[in-house]
Amino acid sequence: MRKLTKKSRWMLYLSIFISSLVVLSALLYFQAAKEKSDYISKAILIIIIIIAVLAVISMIISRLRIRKNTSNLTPAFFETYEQISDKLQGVAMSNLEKKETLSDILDLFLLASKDKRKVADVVGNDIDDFVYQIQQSFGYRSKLVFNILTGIQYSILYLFMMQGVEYLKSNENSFYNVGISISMALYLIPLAFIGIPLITNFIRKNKLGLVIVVPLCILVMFIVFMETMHKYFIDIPWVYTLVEGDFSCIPSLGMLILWLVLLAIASLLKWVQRKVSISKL
Amino acid sequence: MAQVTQLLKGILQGCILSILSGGEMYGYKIVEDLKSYGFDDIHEATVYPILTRLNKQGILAFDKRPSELGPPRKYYRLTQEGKKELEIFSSTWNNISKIVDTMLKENSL
Repeated sequence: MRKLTKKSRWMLYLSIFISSLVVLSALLYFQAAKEKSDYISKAILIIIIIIAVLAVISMIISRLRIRKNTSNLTPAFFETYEQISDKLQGVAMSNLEKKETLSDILDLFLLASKDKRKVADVVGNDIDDFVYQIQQSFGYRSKLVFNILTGIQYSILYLFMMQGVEYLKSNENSFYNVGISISMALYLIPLAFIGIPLITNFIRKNKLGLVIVVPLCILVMFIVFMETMHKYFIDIPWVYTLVEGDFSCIPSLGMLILWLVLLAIASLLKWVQRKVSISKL
Repeated sequence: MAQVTQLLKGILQGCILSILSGGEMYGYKIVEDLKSYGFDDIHEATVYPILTRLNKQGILAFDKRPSELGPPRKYYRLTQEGKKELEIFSSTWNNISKIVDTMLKENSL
């Protein structure tokens, strides 16, 4: 059985570290909020822990699966395959397309390994360019439009999630009456529009350290901004609303449908964008 | 330089269509065939994105069949649109090569 590569080990440690951080943050949050006795809070905490553990397990399974399927590759081809596999995670392609691409590349590498060829003879010297060419061949071209549409989708999902969590924590009978803090939306929206594109870009470039740094930087900037606003400008009415106010992003069934329609339109536009790109190839 | 690359890609695409007009084939074998015709510097990383793009454009179709080595293998073939595309490439190439040949003959020392 092939040993885990240095990179696989690194990614495994990273996933354990991030998951532990998430669990720890959740524990501290619920302790600070003094809601430990609350049944719903406990349930949310347990869900967070389960998700964190599942994330680590899925990372282990994905690494083991790569090892199982690639047992006939030479070490050099295996390392390149693993690199391509990781770079593809940060590429704007559907999971099905990524799976299909990896299956094709694995077949290619198995044949090349059998013929005792060199990696550079098969993929050239620029793996980044190879991955970029693959992405283009699937019709993904305009990064800006794609990132804006993805940002819209993530923002809506974050708002849904926030309102859902607040509803579970509150004693409100109706989901629509629950409010979420404006300040939290102010953190999550830059994360959706700027953070996610940057994170996927760094995953593609194998700069895993920056994957952690980006959300942390956005968080630090958010805290500094909010603290400054709170300390110096809280007397201004709109600043007060920004810092202390809350709003219901889904105040009615009609609004819920409107958000879902917007989500569907963003997906549709991404699909149209791809079709147009393919026709222009 | 970018124009040269585009030109070469266009020629390579025509050559791939020509190879596939002889029957269905998988990517690795297509590259071997290209090399056997003299495209020594061509490697799989160049051909694979072209095959994917041609498939997305409906010029090529593929069947997946089990492989003795591991994952199922894609066997590419020309579609009706692919056959038309090959005819267009063939006639364009004949015209261009005639013009270039004539120019080179007339201007050679």
